[in-house]
Amino acid sequence: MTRPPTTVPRWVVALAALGAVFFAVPILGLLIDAPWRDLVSILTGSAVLEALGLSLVTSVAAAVVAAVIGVPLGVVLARVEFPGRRLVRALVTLPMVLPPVVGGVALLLAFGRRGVVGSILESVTGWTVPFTTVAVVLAAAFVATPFLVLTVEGAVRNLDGRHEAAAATLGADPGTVFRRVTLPMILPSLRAGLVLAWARALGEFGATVTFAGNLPGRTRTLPLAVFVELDTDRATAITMSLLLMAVSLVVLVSMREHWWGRR
Amino acid sequence: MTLGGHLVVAHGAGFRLDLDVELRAGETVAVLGPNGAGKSTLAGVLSGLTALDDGVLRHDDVVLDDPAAGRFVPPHERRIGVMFQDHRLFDHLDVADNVAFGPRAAGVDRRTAAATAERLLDMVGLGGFSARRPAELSGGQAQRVALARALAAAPRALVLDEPLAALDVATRGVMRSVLADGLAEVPGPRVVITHDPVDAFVLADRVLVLEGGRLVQDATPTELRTAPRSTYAAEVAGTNLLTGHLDGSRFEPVGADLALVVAHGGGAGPATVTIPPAAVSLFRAEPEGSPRNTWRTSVARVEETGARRRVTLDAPLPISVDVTPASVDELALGPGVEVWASLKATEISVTPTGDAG
Repeated sequence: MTRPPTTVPRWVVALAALGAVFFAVPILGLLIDAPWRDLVSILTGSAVLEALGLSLVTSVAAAVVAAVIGVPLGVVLARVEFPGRRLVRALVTLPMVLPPVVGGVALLLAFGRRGVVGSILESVTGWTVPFTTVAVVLAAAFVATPFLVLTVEGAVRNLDGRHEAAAATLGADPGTVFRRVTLPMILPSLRAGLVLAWARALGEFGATVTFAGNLPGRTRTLPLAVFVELDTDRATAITMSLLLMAVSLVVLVSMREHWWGRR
Repeated sequence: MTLGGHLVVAHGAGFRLDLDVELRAGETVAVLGPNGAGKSTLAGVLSGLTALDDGVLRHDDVVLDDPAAGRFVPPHERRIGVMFQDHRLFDHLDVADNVAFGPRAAGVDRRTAAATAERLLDMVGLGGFSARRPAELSGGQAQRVALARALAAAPRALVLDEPLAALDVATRGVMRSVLADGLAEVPGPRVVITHDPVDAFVLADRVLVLEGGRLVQDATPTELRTAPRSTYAAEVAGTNLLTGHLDGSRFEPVGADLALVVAHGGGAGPATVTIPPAAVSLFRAEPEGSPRNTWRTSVARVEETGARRRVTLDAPLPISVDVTPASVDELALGPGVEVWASLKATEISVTPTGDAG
């Protein structure tokens, strides 16, 4: 097989190379400046462990929330015709493009003491959401769920319904068909969407700091801790950044097949 | 125990299914028709995957679909099994779990469902395939699993929707006898939807001929062959059906002093073969470089069937042959005229019939 001569102009290749450098340099910088010798002692320091633990708990909780509301949203958007469907889809996907800090302000207004939901919640239970760990989960779920909704909606749209129809003729009611046919058939996409949503939740900063604040042990997740430590303890900030980068890398590698196929 | 009614489905541009049917328990009915006749729509209507636009569908005294009364029983409550042409096996389940799907959905415990699956897989000749994935099966094997899966759900009626259309000729004959065994498992009404008259003649007690969404004939296979009521019916009805004994690639028809060589035989025992009327060629002299089956015979009679002429041959093998009017003139065909007949071994469909044949 002979390749046809390349038709990409040299200046495009040059700009592409510049682009690659733009992405490589900061990551290299992080690796070069990393306090490799003290890495283990910093990682096992109480401030890092605290932030890491909080980040893991809240991001997993956010992924669970995303699954519980995001899968049904994706299925309904793909399968049910109803007036205002486009509006609902726009609403649900808005957090993907909305500046996270705006999302945080909106959540604060809704769940805050004088907010629509917050005031009712407080008068009934005496409990307020903002500046709690629950607020961290809500903020992360708010920005992460859209990734799952879109992935699931796309996957369900690609099902032609033939297998579900066959399952119905075998006596399976709609609930059984959903559980035993629809969900398994979209499983690869579901898994990808969940990992993506979880990764987004793990990295959440803007909505969290606005809605949940920056309280050590309660709402200070890894990204917040990185930001705080950057002024006081550079080595710790870099170490935590490396940790987050390592997680992102694992996510990227695990998603390789789903996004680009087997090449 | 009957399933049927007055069924009307209007499909967008022009097509309209409009017929009265009554399917009785223990009876196998073939629905025969050309592509686009509405056969698969009928399968959908019976199983509940397609809703009626008008009319009413009943199963005994239960109304399954009555748009005027706003009544519609969904597929999972009808329990009318369908074996689909594209088999629709669940790729995420192994063969045994595919077959056990129906019983499991009905709340049968895991062990009983697995036992049912195993028995039915044995019946369709796939014992030992339990742990395979659908993707590892051949087309014929996948269809067998689909049949076992439909039977495992203990359907009140069974519809086979073009069960052999996706298979190659060589596997059809054997699969047809597997289908016959499967149909015998269902005490309720049985329907075989097909465009292949061989399926109708071999499997069915009654044939409904469907054209353009309407019923043009409701007859036994014998009636259809002796008195076809449309050009299409005449074409398919001409198919010669012979019973006899198969021994490897040699088939001896009952009451004929001639053995045929068949390409898709194998095994020994009673069998049914079908020969399309257009597959036989006639000559005045012995043909050279002949196909495997050539014999000397004479013409019993010549009839008009649409644009073709149907020639019925005399002993040793009294079968029907379709030829063009030009050939009739050229060969001067008429009662008593001596001719040579030839037939390719590959044109003969063989179905082993077991003890029943």
